[in-house]
Amino acid sequence: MRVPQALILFLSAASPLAAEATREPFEVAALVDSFDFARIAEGEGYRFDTETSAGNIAVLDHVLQTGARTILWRNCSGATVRYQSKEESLCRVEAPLDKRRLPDNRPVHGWLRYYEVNPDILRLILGVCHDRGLRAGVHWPFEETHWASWTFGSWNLENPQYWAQTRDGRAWAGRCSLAYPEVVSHKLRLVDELLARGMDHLFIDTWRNGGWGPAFEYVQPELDRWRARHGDEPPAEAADPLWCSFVAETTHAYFNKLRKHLDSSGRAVRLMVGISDAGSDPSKPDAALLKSGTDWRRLVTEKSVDALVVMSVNWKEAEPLESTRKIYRDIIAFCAGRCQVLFPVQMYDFGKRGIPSYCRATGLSPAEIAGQLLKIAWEEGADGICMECVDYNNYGPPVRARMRSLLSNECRFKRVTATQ
Amino acid sequence: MSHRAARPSPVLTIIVPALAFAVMATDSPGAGERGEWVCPCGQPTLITSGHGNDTEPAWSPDGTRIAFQTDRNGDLDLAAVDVKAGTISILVGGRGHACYPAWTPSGDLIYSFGDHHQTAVAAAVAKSDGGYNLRMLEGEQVRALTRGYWRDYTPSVTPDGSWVYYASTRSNIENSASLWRLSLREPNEQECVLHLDSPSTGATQPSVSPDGRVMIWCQMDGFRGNWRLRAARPEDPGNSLALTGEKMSAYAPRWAPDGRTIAFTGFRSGDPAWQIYLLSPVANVTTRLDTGPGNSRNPAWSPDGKNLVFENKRSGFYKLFRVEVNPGRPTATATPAEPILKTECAARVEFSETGARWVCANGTIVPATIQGAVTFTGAGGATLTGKGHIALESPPGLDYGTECFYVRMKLVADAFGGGPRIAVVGQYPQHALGWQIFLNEAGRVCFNSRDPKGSYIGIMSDLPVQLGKPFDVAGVRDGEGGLRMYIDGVLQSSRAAGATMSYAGATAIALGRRGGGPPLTGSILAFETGRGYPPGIRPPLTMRELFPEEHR
Repeated sequence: MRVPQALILFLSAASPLAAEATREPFEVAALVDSFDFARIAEGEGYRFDTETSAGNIAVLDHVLQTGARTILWRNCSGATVRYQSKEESLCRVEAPLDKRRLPDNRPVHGWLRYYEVNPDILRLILGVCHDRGLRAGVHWPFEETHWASWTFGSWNLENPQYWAQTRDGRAWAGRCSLAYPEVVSHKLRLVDELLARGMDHLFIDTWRNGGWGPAFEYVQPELDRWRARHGDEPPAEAADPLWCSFVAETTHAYFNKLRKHLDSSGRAVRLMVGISDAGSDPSKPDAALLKSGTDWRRLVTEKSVDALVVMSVNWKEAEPLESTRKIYRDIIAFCAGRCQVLFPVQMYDFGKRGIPSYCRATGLSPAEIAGQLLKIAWEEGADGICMECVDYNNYGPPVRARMRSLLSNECRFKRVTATQ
Repeated sequence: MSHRAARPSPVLTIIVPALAFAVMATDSPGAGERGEWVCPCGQPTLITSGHGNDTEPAWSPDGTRIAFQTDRNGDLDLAAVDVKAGTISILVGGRGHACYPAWTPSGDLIYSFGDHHQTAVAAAVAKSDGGYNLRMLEGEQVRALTRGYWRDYTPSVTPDGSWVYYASTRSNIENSASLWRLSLREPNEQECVLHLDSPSTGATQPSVSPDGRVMIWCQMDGFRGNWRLRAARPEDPGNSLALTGEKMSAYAPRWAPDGRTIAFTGFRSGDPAWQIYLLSPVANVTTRLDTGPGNSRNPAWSPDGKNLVFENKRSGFYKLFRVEVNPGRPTATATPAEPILKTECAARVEFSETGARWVCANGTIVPATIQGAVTFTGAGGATLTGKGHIALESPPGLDYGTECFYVRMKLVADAFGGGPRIAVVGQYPQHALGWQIFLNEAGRVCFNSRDPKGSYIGIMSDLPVQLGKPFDVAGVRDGEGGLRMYIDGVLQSSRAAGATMSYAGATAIALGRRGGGPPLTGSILAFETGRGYPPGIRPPLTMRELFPEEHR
């Protein structure tokens, strides 16, 4: 629930201390993937044993050095969960015990068994976050494989009848289709497991789609639905915006069910949706629609989500920061208070949109870019920033220092804009 | 138990041309034909019960027992059910996972065992034996067959009892598994028979046919692909063919004792769950057995070939069921769609002292477009300094569609690093980097194609190039979207699947970098691209070669 802006303005004018007490902090969210800490060498061994309580708490301590106050902990890789899930317990969630998974052969990584570790990792870390007064949530990629066969989920492998299908009839284990009610029910049972572990924020990351996309949604229920509506066959080209929009209807229905399910849980759980490659022009189909079958503008318009997390934007090489600001401004204007908006301060650079690419384009240091991006987000009226993902020292000491400095001072609270 | 052949409904006969190939003919002779195979099967009978999952059955050679793995006590143990009495005895219990039982002809049991009671970090620091290794149960004695921080699994024993074939991650780096074999006779030599090592690429469950002629296994070529059955001669597993198509997920193949039929686990779109399929490779037909509701998996034959045992989860747990089958000989066959064996060069470059020219598919000669600094050394090739490239605009004949094509070149690299160094790129309307050969950061040679969305699908050489030394690289995208690479004629271990982009007419071929990024520096000595497999590279086996009619 947001505090009415008029009240904020009144309190601000009445008393600086009272104003500070009521102003909303500028949110600093961190996506945390403990798996990525598991191979950090130290001496003859490893710095973090992420299958232990101490190891995970050490990961959290490291992440907090960035100034993060919202922790979104990864619950899975693909559909391979990282807690003691009943829903994802059959068959054995590791290779070679399930021979349909090919083993991860990297030392340590390939031998992690988060799904059977005691204590339950997710319950532990969300509890520690609560104890420390942090916002505690889950980073749940919109994927059932994380680009590798060892991440296929056990429920998925048990239920091939719900698998994705290409237009030419090829079954693919990479994902079960949300067009089947049984799949949605399965997802909601997983949500229940997350709720039972203390999740207050659920961040669905549509950029991480595991190679899935509308090309894999030629499943029978969708074919039937298309034929019923259009009286003909779906477009042959899976990237056809018409087909992608059609698929997005099913995704949208899923998000609405998710929203309803969270609301009925009796807890105030914030639903956050992450999108990538965001552009300014609402008239053009964007990556979220074409690659992840997600219509984020509709989600915002219909207030289906509480927070939009922009994970990357299509800034221009010639004017990196200026074009970034323009896109931020357009997105803020589009959202118009219908949901919170978090912008990226992103060290990951898979799409050549993160801090390393800004550095190359501007000649500025990572600390300078991180500071600039943070300030632009704050100045344009965002509710906060999101870091993807905080790994061991990828936000290096100068970056962390710069961010903490801003977050302790001018960017401590959300900016109250003139329009507010 | 009686046959149910008189009742048509439970004998669900699937009629498909079962065989798929790396290179499919565009006008496949098998495409319009249908083999028909009515395979009677009986009513499935439950043979294990109670708590826990009973899986991976294997029928003993004398037919009296069925070994299986069970999690009824928590981790995986090995047990056996007496076929007549129905009593169950634990063969290997205690801490750790004992799994994938396989009988030797003399009645000993080989299995995979792993015991991981520490965290991964603690085990690594303590240098614990963290692998899954093969063991043999001889009477009540257990003997370790393999050791090490690897996973050795899904063993099978050759009919003569001399070798164990198995999947293993030994020496693999990626998320992958290769096929190995271990001699059961002194000095127990161990060797890799099929090295596969690229992301989500691997093979499991190898087994040799009763007559020793053919080896089968299941293979995944990248996470976008499905598990598929493959077959080859045991002495040359690198030259294999696919027994099941890309649209189906198929694994866990088991030879029938007569060697004419393969049972396996499969799923095709429209199936209600995992199903038991039978495949007759000689007749080129597949049939799906009606084993009732729920997932049915991991079939194993009785020694007389009249029964299958498999696991099914209709009760909530996987339990073992037995079903009578009579595969017989299929009454009809489907003519296999054999691969296109001929090679059609679509474009190659010829060098002279003054320049280069392209010889195109239709026989036309086109002078090459030279941009920037390129030095020609006569017929020997061209030297690139990084400031120029050789191009052919709108080359005819490169409209490969979804068919098999190759890209082959001979070159010398003077440097790598700093980013991908492009040796050649085929530019298409669908994607400006439709296919490429390049050196990656680590100096490995890469070949890529695209999936229908335009996503990168690529493979790389086993080793980095040797700078200054000429090498021949050939990349093949087969007719089912699989990628293969040959360096100096040697098949590399990297595999990928899903590269099924349909190539319309190319807009250009460019040798050397065209655009930004670090340049290729070195010499291009030869280049050509075309349909089919490249000259000098052995084309894949044909079905008729591997499964001749006389073995029907």
